[in-house]
Amino acid sequence: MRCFEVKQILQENFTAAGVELEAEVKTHLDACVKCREYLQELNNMASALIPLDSFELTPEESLQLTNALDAQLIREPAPIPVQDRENRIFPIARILLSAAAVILMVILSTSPTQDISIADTDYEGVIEYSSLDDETMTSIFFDNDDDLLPSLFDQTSAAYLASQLRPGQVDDVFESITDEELAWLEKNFSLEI
Amino acid sequence: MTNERNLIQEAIQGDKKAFTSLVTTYQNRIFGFIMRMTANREIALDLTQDTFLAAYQNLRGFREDSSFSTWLHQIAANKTKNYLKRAKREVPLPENYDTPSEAYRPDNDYDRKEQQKMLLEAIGTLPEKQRSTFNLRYFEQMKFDEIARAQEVSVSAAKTNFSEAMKKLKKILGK
Ligand SMILES: [Zn+2]
Repeated sequence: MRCFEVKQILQENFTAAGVELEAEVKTHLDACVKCREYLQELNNMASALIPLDSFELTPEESLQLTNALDAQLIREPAPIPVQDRENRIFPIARILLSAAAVILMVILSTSPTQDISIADTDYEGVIEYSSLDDETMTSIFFDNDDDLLPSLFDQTSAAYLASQLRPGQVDDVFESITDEELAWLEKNFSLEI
Repeated sequence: MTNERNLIQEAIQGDKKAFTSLVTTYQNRIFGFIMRMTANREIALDLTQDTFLAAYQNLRGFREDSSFSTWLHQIAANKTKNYLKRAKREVPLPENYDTPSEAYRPDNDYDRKEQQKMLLEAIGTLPEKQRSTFNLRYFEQMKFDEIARAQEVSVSAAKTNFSEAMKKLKKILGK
């Protein structure tokens, strides 16, 4: 083994966990002062770097991190695995459409499906999740501007609401909405899956 | 490890508690990595939070061909890179360095803190890619092919970056 190779091996295996040496390298080191010196340099460097080995969050910081993450995670839909998702494209489209229908009926309160209520908190989640600005929100909720309704519903808020629907609710919605309503939903909520 | 795999599976199904357990396990390591990159506690804390949020959102993209720890570090390295690019702070200044709660740290920790500060300054003089490569390799013991993947460079480029970082650090630390 040549010195160049040995030094390269030593360097590439140099970590805070220590240098692990193969027998061949050890044999070379036993016989070579230059490479032993190089290893010593690495060891000195490792000693110098010890203060950077670990950083710890203070209990306050740790709590701050957990709380901040909890607040963000609560709005996140479950990260369903890709392969599952692929098998569920049709059901998901159905769920999202149902979710759209539910919120639509709640807002319009004119449909036979209005008895399919969603909890206030779920509804707030959709509003909070929507990327709409205040003005548009106001138009929808206070001026009843129906044309803007589809914009309330983006994919993220739909996914959120879909995750809040109770089992069976999807089927309930699909059974009770009219053909016209379904057509309108499909036309206006072109949700990309 | 099996336990970790279970926690990941549960988190993928939307179990936030399972995910929080993973956060608890890795928060100090991710925070440490980002501290060594940014030398700023407040920013490191923010970026740690960003890293875990992104991890949750992308959990379905986690492939078990690398360890969860490696995968998290790859996200953290990306977040840090973007931050440094945004802040145009190739050379981080160790400001805001002290822990917010002085009482938490033992008195004899003063020297260690001073040393840390000096070392962070030294590491901070490295270009971002070399600094990140050095951190991932030396402190996190990631394999070069994993580092290469994380940084979208070839394995030999990752080794060169590491070698360059070593050369510079040896010079600085040897003074
Ligand atoms: Zn030699």
